[in-house]
This record gives sequence, C-alpha cells and structure tokens, in this order.
Amino acid sequence: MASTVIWLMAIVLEVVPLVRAAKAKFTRHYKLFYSYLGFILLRDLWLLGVYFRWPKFYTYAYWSSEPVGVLVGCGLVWEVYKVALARYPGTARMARNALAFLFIFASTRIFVKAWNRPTWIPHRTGYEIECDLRIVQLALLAGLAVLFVCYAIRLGRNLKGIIYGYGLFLVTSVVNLTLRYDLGDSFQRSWAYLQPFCYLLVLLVWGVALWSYAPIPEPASEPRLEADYESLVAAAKRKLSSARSHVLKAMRP
Amino acid sequence: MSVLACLLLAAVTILNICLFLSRRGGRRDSDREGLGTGQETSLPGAWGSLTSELSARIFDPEDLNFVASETSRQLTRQFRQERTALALDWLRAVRREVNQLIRAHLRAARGNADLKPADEIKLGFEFLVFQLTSGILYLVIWAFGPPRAAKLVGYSLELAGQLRKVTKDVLPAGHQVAVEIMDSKQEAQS
Repeated sequence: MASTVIWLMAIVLEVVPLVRAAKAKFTRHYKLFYSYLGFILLRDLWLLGVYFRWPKFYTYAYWSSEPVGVLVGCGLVWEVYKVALARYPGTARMARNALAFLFIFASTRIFVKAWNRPTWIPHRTGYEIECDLRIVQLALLAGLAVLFVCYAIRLGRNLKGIIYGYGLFLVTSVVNLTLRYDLGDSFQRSWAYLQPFCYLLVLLVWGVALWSYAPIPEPASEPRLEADYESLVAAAKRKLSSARSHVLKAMRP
Repeated sequence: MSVLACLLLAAVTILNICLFLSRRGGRRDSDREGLGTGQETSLPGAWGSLTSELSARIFDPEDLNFVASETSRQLTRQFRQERTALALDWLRAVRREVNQLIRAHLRAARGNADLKPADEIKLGFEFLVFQLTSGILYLVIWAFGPPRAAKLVGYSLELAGQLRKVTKDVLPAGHQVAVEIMDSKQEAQS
C-alpha cells in the first residue's frame, strides 16, 4: 500500500515540472532533460499497469526498460555539458578531453569485468550492470562538476537543480544497487522502500529548481581575453615560479 | 565490501562537491569581476605588499637573538610567538595571491578556444606542488618558529643542491634526475 502511494506521488511529481515547463514554454532550453522526465513518466505509467494487471511480468518489464532509462540518462549528462559550457569554449575543450578519458576508463573496467566472468548473464547480473553504468554516469557528472568549480562556471538555478537532482539520483542508485547486490534478498524489502523514497527526493529537487525558467547568468567579462592562450599559460607559470622563489628566498638564512 | 566502501566514499565525495559548488556559486554571485581586473594578472613582481626585505626580516634570527640576549625568557617566548604569527600571516598572504593568480588564469582560459588541456594539467600540477610545499612550510613554521624553519629550509635546499650535483656527475647528460630547487635564473627573476 505504502509503495503504491509513493509510486503515485512520484508520478504526480513527474507531471508537475513537465506541465509547468510546457505552460511557460521553456522545455526547449532543456530538451533532453524534459525528454528524460517524459520517458520516466511513461515508463512509470506502463510499469504501474503491468504491476496491477500482470504482476508476474513486472520484474521482466522493470529490468527490460532499465537500460533505456540509463541511455536516456546519458543524454541528460550530455545536455548539462552542452548547455553549461556553451559560452566557455576553453572549458568545453577541457571537458571533452576529461569526459572522454573518464568514459573510456570506466567503460573498459566494465568490459574487462564482464570478459573475465564466464557466467555473465544480463538478467542475473542486472543489478551489477546497472550499478556499473550508473557509476560511469556518476564519474562523468562528477568530472563535469569539478570542472565547473575549477573554472568558476556560472550555472543558473535550473541547471544547478538538474545537476543536484541527477547527482543525488545517481549516488542513491549506486549505493542502493551495491547494497542490493552485496546483501542479496535480505535487502530487497528495504530496497522496495528506499529506492522510491530517494527518487521522490530527486523529483522534489527538480520540482523546486525548475518551477520557473531561470536563464544562465552571463559570464563575467574575462580578463585579458584578447591574449592568446600560450602567453596566458606562460604568464601564469612565470608568476607561480616567481612566487615559489619568493618564498624560498625569504626563508634562506 | 571494499567495493561498497569505495562507492560510499564516492557518494560522499559527490555530495561534498555539490555543497562546495553551491557555496561557490553563492559567493561568485557577489564577487563579480573584482578579481579579474588584470591587477593580479599583471604580475610578475606583484609581491609589492610582501617585499623581500620584510619577509627576509621575519625569518632572520638576528632580532630573536638580540631579544633573547637583552630580555627575560618570557619576553623572548612572547617575541617568538609574535614572529611566528607574523610569518604565518605572510605565508598566508603569499598563498592568497597565488590563489588569486590561478583564479584569474582560469577565468581568462575558460573562454579561450585555444586552451590546451595538457598545459592546464601541468599548470594545475605546479599549483598543487606549490600548495603542498607552502602547506608543509606552514606546518614547519608553526611548529618550530621562523628562524628554525628558515634553517631547515636552507639545509633542505643545500641537500637538494648536493643531490643535483651528484646526479649530474653520476648520470649522463639528458638523464638527470630533476631536483626542484631555486636556481639562479629564478633568483634573477625575483
């Protein structure tokens, strides 16, 4: 009963930001995010129908739709990258390299693990695969977050909300899936409540952050933007070296 | 279970990043372009407030020796404590200026389409090394006071110099072990 209530609440919380965005006509700013939200709404409605009409098939229906959800989620991470760094070509370049490295690193880990496992059966290892894919997404999102912090990228309320919400969703998913995989069926009962509860929190974050459209603030005027990159780096290195020798010189007896 | 621990650690890290992001975001909204006026980007030699004379005096043992010879032990201890606080303030000021310099660089580089990730990583590494070195210096000054810390640094530099000389003698040219030390070129710059 409680899980059904949580389920219905989730559906309502999925509908609200979609309706708000459609009414205020700002879905075009975050197309992939709203596609993701639309997808999970349809999926939830479909799973709800399956759960009540054909309960035996629910597990299959859930696990067969999960990979699509993960893929659409990748689109969301892509949108965060595209929208946040549209005005920062330098950081975008850095992000492409960092994300490619993280993606290759994390994907290789999964493939090597699957390759070394003789009994690699998608259905049986569903939790593990999803957990691995979520870790890849988490690594990508964390990499982006680190770049945003380092390069002082201004995000705006909407984008911050998308990142916080999806970050929270990924973190709780990874923790829940790991516990489910490690502890087995004994965790199933807690999993049935924990996962939807965490998901409700995510939807609340999204609902608040995307209640209305908040454009991304214009970047502050860049100092020495006219300077070429080589001279910028050279100047920074020279100054850093000067600071180091300043400290050492002062301390020389 | 170790995998689980790693994942939990990752989760906590991500949450911390999110919190940090929000804190910075709030701060950034208020700090505007103040940092990017070009004042700190027009270094070198922007250590105006931190002149060599001042910093050399802080670490010079002469004053302490004079106070120790002319006054009581209690006053000497008080003088040493004040000198330590002054030295720590000075080091904090240098770190602050370096932080501003790196922030200014990142602000300038983020919009530059020619950005080279390898150069950024190298610069980031150098910055980390500086932070680490100055962090260690901070601890040494805090623990032993400025004159002893200066002695220790001098001894370390001497040792590093000797090590470099040894590696020059032992290894063929082009394969020498790099020893981080203030060389004459850097001295000339400062």
